[in-house]
Amino acid sequence: MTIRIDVWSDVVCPWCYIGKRRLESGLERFEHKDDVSITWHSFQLDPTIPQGQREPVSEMLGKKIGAPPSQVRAMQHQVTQLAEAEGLSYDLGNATSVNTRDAHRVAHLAGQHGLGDAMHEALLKAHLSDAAVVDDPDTLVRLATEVGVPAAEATDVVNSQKYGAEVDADIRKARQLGISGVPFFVLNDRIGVSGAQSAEHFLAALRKAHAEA
Amino acid sequence: MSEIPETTTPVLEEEPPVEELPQLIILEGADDAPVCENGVCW
Repeated sequence: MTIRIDVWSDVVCPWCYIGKRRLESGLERFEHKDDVSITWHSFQLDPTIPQGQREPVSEMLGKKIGAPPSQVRAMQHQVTQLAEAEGLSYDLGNATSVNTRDAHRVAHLAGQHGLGDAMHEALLKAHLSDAAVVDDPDTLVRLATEVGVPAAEATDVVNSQKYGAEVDADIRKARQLGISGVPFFVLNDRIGVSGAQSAEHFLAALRKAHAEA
Repeated sequence: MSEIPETTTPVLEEEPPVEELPQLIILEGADDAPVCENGVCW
């Protein structure tokens, strides 16, 4: 039997990348890992960022929480260390805050090709590790093609508003489910896991879902 | 493995009707499991 995992995540969310790794670690130890499917869903941490507006994440965060640069650096250092424990190399000091709607539209295109997981991975890595600007059209097309999306299709989506309805539907569903923070994982439409929990916790959730299926 | 406590998520009074929404059981793990919320991740 198949266990379906629906994940709500934003591509600029540091905990989502860490959560993705921890889920994968739990999955690796799961006895029925070959029977698990993962579907990524859109969630925008800040949909109010105007399209095209870019600013350093450090500055955005400092303004949002009213913290001085030294405090922001300390917070980023802490999450960077936790990422390292999962084998991730973050470069948050050079990350750029953007509206992620276009990235999510491209991710939905990739999902249509069965490349949703790879595209989400590419977008998270691009923003969090490589300091790429994930609303840049050329960057989005490059990332999509690197994971196997036909370039013409990626270009068409980037230059249009295609898959906007799918992004909206994901965000609406998250709201209906009461999801206010990400990452958030739903197993078999039944079991919810909030946050970047440990690999052991994900493994327990997988076993519970399997036992109840 | 220790048993995981369960709680039920609050159901919002918004459409679609409640019966169309999955009834989620939230597996409680670490209380401080990090999430990004309202644009803030730390």
